[in-house]
Amino acid sequence: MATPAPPNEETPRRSSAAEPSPAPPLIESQGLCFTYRGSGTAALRGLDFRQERGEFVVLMGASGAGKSTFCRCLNGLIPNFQKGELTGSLAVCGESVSDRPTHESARKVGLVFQDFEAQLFCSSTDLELAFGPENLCLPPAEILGRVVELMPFLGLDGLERREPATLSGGEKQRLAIGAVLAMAPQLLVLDEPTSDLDPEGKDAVFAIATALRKSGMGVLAVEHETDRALAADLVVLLVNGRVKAAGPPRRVLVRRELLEQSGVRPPDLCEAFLALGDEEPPFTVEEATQRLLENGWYFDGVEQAALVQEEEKRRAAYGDVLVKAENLSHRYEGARTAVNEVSFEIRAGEFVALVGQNGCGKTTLLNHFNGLLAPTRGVVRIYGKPTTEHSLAELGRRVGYVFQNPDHQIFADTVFDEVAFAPRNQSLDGQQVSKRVNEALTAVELSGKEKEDPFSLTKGERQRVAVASVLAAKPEILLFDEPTTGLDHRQQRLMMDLIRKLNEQGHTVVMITHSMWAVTHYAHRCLVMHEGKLLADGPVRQVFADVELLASASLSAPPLVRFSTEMGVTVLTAEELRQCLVTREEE
Amino acid sequence: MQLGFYQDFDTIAHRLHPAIKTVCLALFFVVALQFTHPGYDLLVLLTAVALVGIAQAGKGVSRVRVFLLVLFTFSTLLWALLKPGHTLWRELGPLTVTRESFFYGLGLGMRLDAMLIAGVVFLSCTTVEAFVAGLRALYVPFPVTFALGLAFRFVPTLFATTAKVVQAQCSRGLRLDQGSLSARARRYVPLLVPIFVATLRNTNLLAMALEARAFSPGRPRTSVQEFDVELADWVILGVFLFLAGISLGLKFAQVGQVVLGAA
Repeated sequence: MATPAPPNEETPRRSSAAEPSPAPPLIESQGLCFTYRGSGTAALRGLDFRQERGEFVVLMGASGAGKSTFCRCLNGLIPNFQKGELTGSLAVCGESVSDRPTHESARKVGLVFQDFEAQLFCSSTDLELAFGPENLCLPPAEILGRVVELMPFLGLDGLERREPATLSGGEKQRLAIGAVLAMAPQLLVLDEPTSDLDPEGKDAVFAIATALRKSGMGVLAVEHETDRALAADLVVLLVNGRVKAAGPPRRVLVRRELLEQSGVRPPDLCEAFLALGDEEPPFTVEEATQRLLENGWYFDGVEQAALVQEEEKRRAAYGDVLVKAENLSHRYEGARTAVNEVSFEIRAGEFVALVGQNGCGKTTLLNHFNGLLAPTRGVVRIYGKPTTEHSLAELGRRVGYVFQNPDHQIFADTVFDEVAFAPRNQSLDGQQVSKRVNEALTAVELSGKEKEDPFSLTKGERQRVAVASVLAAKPEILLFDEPTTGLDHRQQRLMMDLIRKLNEQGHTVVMITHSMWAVTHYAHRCLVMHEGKLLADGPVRQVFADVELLASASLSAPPLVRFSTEMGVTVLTAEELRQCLVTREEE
Repeated sequence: MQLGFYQDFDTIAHRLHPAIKTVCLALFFVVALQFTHPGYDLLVLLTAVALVGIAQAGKGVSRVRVFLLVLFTFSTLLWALLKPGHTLWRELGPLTVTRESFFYGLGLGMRLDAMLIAGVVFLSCTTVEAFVAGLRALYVPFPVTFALGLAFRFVPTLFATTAKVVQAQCSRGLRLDQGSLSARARRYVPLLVPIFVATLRNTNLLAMALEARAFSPGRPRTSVQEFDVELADWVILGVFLFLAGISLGLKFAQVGQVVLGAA
């Protein structure tokens, strides 16, 4: 039962909040403040929060709002491990956390981090699950019993004794969750557990969280996707280290302005219906269908035909074929075939989204475009010439690749030097290098930051530096691998707007993403991969209208798209919905 | 992608106590290092190959096959040319190859390959956790075993990070094979800085993940992997001790040696 402590703004409480609770709350913090050592800015500024036992709470907010800091306070990593100044009170199950060592708090609080790769360190799945209970000195027989019980609960049955590195992303994250569940904590804290996962992986994590809540365990999850927050008992919005608002999801997530201020993307169906003047906006496809009937609204097929016609016009305007894959296959040594007999063409000016499950071969496919990998069978032609006949320097000038994690490339002391890296590698003179850097920084809207240390920038800005450093080589084709991962909604929108702008300026864009929102709002065409094969290739509207096809690739369209498709007209954005829906006023 | 060598089979090699396995590996190295004659080294190599069969470690050995070939070829060629011997065998311009030097090189190539294969066999049938438990059973101090275990676990992460950084920088035109030696050395900076930063971050996260799972160095903990020394362990240890003793005896008697000297 959630009873958030009085926030700075309105804090809706659930009806049963007034009932007396015999046991102390699961989490209770009052006036919690924390400033990291060496930082001039407080990460938490008087955070008041309360979560009851058996409750599922979703914590939302922009990057830097204090979500991860709060999570790390809960098991004492702050201030025991990450030092700084901590004031105020924080208790879990009625006991103060800050004066206990983390390994003791771990008995009650299980914390799972966003980066599942870095928190799996045993040589097999069952040893990974056993590691925590071993540290709690539980008898081996009991530990093995827990392992046997957990594997099917996590959807990992059949994967006993497997090396964690060989699992898919979704399986790794579920294993990481299981590794803390094996310690039977009273509170499970998930710090952005779904950021790197495909839609099916995200669903599986939230299914686990929901099942745990039903079993009486408290779950606190940090999440950016509002559609998934609907499963929670309580949504808490953090802004600048304080609770801005808290309440049942359906009461918090309808407040568009509040969500925008908090850097949270409103649920798309809800936002679209609010914009149409519906005072009781729906959150799910079923509710939307109901509201449509109740309001007497209907879809205008002519408007949708106009949208399709516009897309056809755009397709006709594309230029020459720049990328051509013919029966492309790639098999890693000693492993399965990652890309299997894939053929397609990409023309100048296209904006292509490459989607599919974790491990389906997307990145392997993209790595062929700039010569990082050579086909084991078939051929990839860039500007008509096989990549194997291009020099790497030549390919680097034509194909720019923005990797998922900007920190895997940033090395220079200043933003200028970082962006100048590629032009200098092309042996350009100082004047030309400066010109290229200025142009690139202007394109990513980072002019004026030339002398700044790139490591001191925010993740969103570092991602932009990475884009600028690729743009400075003046490539015609731009490849993006998960450009929105790890960014909050505002940063995601800025990044995607930037990519769209670059596409409109003439760059051909190919983007790998798990964000279906980014695909429907920005891409023109969608390639769907499944187990190394190209399952579908077509305009986004056409591909996303095929619910079964997406399901067979373990994907699903955003609720707005699913709703409209069920109504017989596929719209991709709230704007299109407004355009295609005939309301009574319009009649 | 499989990062480690461990293969989960139920063989006698897998079932052995890790401490016994560690000692046997060390004894195998002792045996391998006693001979310089290729005939004897061939026996050592064949023993290693037999161990591959026993432990079903063919997949792991296959992963290092190119390295094995390079090691063998270079050792044979290099020592055939560099070591002095008595019996002139071939003249290659200013270089001479003697029968003894060629035999020495051939033997060393086989010895190195045998030791590498034995190492891969050990890794193929021993998990990191078992290796650490084995070292502790051998009374290696806990801080050392803990650090070793973490290092083993961290190596694959380091390789994965390095691969990503190399890909990212090569995509931006980094070429490591051009220019003078100092220019090439400077070009490693764009690789080393991100690898260093990412490793620091990963280490930090790893430490936090360990703490979050109630780990605290030096505190008692139970283990689901309980290893008992059984009769088979003593028998295998006896066999390896016997082989090591025999080989030391042969070395002492100057058997199995190539006699080198000025050509």
